[in-house]
Amino acid sequence: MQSVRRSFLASFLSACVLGILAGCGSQSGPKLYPASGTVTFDGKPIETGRITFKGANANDRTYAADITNGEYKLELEAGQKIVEITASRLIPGKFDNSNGKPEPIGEMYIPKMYNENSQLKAEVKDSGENKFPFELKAK
Amino acid sequence: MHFRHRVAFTLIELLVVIAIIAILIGLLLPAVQKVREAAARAKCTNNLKQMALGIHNYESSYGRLPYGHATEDSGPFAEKLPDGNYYHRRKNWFQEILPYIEQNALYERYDAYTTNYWLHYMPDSIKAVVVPSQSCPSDPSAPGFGAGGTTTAFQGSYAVCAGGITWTGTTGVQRDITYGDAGGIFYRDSKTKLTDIRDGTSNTIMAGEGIIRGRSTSGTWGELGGHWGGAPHGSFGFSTFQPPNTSVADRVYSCKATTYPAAPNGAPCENGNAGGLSGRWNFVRSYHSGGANVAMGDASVRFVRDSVDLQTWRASGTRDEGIVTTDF
Repeated sequence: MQSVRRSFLASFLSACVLGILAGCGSQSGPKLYPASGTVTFDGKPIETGRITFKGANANDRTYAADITNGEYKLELEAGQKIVEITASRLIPGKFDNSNGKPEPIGEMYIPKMYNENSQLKAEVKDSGENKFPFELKAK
Repeated sequence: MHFRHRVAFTLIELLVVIAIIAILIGLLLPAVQKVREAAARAKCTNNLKQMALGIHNYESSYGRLPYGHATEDSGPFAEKLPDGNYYHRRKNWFQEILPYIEQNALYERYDAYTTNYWLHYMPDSIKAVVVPSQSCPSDPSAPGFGAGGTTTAFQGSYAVCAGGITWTGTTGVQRDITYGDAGGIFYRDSKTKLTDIRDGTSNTIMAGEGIIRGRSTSGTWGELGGHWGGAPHGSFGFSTFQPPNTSVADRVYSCKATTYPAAPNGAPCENGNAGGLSGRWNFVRSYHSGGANVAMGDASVRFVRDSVDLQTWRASGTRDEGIVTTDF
């Protein structure tokens, strides 16, 4: 009797596990590989900013992530990427009044050669580690 | 001795029965959850359909589609009081189509109110009214509030398509959605007729959904759906430059949150004003797994996967770029 009960239980449990597993999988879209790195500006880590990886062709997908305390982490498609980095700070004493009340205005302080006209590149590999450190300079 | 002959369950038998029941319930619960999600998704899809039909009924009355948003103090749609002051400042398609989505009472209250000139200074009896058909139940933050400067104004889950792309041949570049003609059906002071959608109404996106980044603190402007004050900062519309649920940030005047971890890909948002970043745009986002709904110009609603072909998606967002698109 006991062995019959055991086998019933075992089959129930395995059915449950299968049911749970069936819910997973079937993810579509391109294959992504983890990438990470550090970003400094004039030697200091960028506290908060954004990093964007664009493909070499206009219709390649773009991936972006936050930079927090000089570090970023995201998932990318393999291939050659153009990297854009932005970070901002408030301008003391400057306000916008278009809403009928003052709102502080900021500035994006990273030079254009690192974002709008970026020369930064990264080659994402489909195996091994993808670590891309960036050391930016004001000039 | 008669105790031995009593008919009873042993402890182990009871435990086995309880275990089986527990397993069955365990199997059932996720199914119930799935059904609830499916119901929310169906409601969300239907809302978009109703919105698209409302826009079409509006078109039947006016001979043109509603504007994306109206210039505050000049242009064809600005409203002026006898004393020279402009009122209903920052109005957008949302207020325009209210009578066509069974919200006539709200529209009449809004239309009659001329005391405070900006929409975000309207009383809560107008701006805080939740319009259920503009709220997607799949979003845990819906019905939303904020994104137009105050914390109490209703924030919708839907917006119209502004395109937000400048085309050079078949190469698109991201552009601001709040100024000028951004290529889509809806933009500032737009008066698009159905015949102006030269790529074909069934090939051009009219409206879509976004996500709400939680409760607002005051003074945040422009996230999708902030129709009571946020329109000129981006709230009225979205760009199709990036696919649904992109990890590229929305960029509006100021965000309720720069990231919202519960949403797909964290729904990032950049503070345009405090960050000194030019250009304003929202992207299509949703909590439905793997994609989002859009309504086409012919009022058909389609589910678009996050993995949609980028060229097709971008070209579908603009009304007259002439690129032949495949189906989603």
